[in-house]
Amino acid sequence: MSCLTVILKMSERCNLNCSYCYFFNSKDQSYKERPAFLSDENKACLLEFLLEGVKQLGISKVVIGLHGGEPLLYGKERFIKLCNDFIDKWPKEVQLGFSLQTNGLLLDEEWVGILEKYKVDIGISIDGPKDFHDIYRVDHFGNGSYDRLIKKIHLLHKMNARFGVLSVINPKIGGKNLYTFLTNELKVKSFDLLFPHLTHDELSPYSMDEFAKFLCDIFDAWTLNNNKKIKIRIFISFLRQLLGGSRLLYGIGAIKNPGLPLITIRSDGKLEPVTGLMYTDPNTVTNTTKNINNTSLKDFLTLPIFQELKEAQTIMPENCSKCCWEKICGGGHIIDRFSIKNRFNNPSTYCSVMMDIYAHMTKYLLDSGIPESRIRHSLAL
Amino acid sequence: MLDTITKIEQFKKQVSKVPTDYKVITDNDIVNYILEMTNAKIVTGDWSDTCHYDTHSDNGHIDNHMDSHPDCANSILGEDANS
Repeated sequence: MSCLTVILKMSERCNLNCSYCYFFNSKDQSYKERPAFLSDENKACLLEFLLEGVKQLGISKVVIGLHGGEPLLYGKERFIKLCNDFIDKWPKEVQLGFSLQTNGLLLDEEWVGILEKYKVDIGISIDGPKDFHDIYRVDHFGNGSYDRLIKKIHLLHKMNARFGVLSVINPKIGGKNLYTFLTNELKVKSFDLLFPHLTHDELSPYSMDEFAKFLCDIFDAWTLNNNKKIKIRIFISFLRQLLGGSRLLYGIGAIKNPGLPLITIRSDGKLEPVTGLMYTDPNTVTNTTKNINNTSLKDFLTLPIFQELKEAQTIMPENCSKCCWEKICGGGHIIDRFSIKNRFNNPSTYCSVMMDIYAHMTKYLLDSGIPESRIRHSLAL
Repeated sequence: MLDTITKIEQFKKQVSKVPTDYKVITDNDIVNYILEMTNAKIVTGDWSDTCHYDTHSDNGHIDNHMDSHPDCANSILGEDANS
């Protein structure tokens, strides 16, 4: 099965101004030169580009991640038309899925109805309780967004909408505290934890011990709760790997055959490798001259950067070869391995955190009756 | 071979350092869930990505067939999320 994930920057503007945002408040400021929204003309080109690519590469499933900026700024009417255009022209033999990552502030009953109708997987960004969420997730006047967001979470529950949550890790919240907040207070059933991007060319505001403690604590809160209806994606991905399965997340965890790379399409049709990499070195990693109007998907994927990204995921950094977790960790998240000097040939900046959480999870599995031999087999030991 | 022995020692040392002050649950729903996912259709016992799974894949949520972008919603949702 050959699958493709497309991150579509349908809106390159946002109603928030989160201080840690890699898209607006990092090295790449190219959004300023691009249209605010994907135009109708580019939408038509995009469809043609993908249909041709699906056919040429024999792709059997495409997931379109509706992204921004804030994707709901695109507007309901245009959003419906985009979904309808895709569904009407999409070949039946190829699966098509939509997901949406939003700050949630523009949601109303009509929006929720639209997202349900088109079976769009909804992801909401929440960092934690108000005091923590409002540190980074502020509007253009510097005001926190928590109070407005909570009303939208209540709306989603009221309408029985299915949604997940992404939280950028702030270790000061405390793992147990975040787990209780998300699952008890907000009644969230599925969430994921994102490490703040951290290349080797910068310093973390928090210590690695703080990150490790946070992760071990939230893992313990989850496992003590022992409710399989609560899903924490990063932990499920790691546990699967420890038990011999494959990873769930792009760029995090070892992989032998990465398959098709994830791609990003900007509002003007410009093509880039997966979003987030613009946090590393936009000039040499994400900036390309390719556009959906002047190339095919097949040709785009022959750019040298894709070979580099593939090698970064399949050939481990030199320092990782002596680590017992190498076969599942894969050097950590690809962005956190970057340095201007060595490119991706570094272990993750979160290396010690990864070791601690893998050891912690392994102990948990052993205590739960999983034979050590099975885990060692997964680690090729 | 020497490398492997060193790695096994490292593995044992790191795991033995994990504190055991948490409560161990013997009838473990989370482990059973992961095992169910992982055992669904293991092609080989190898660590490689030759393991593919047929369960849960068609409902647009936890997606066993593909890498999901960490900044995206697809596959955050479990198959019974919010049910």
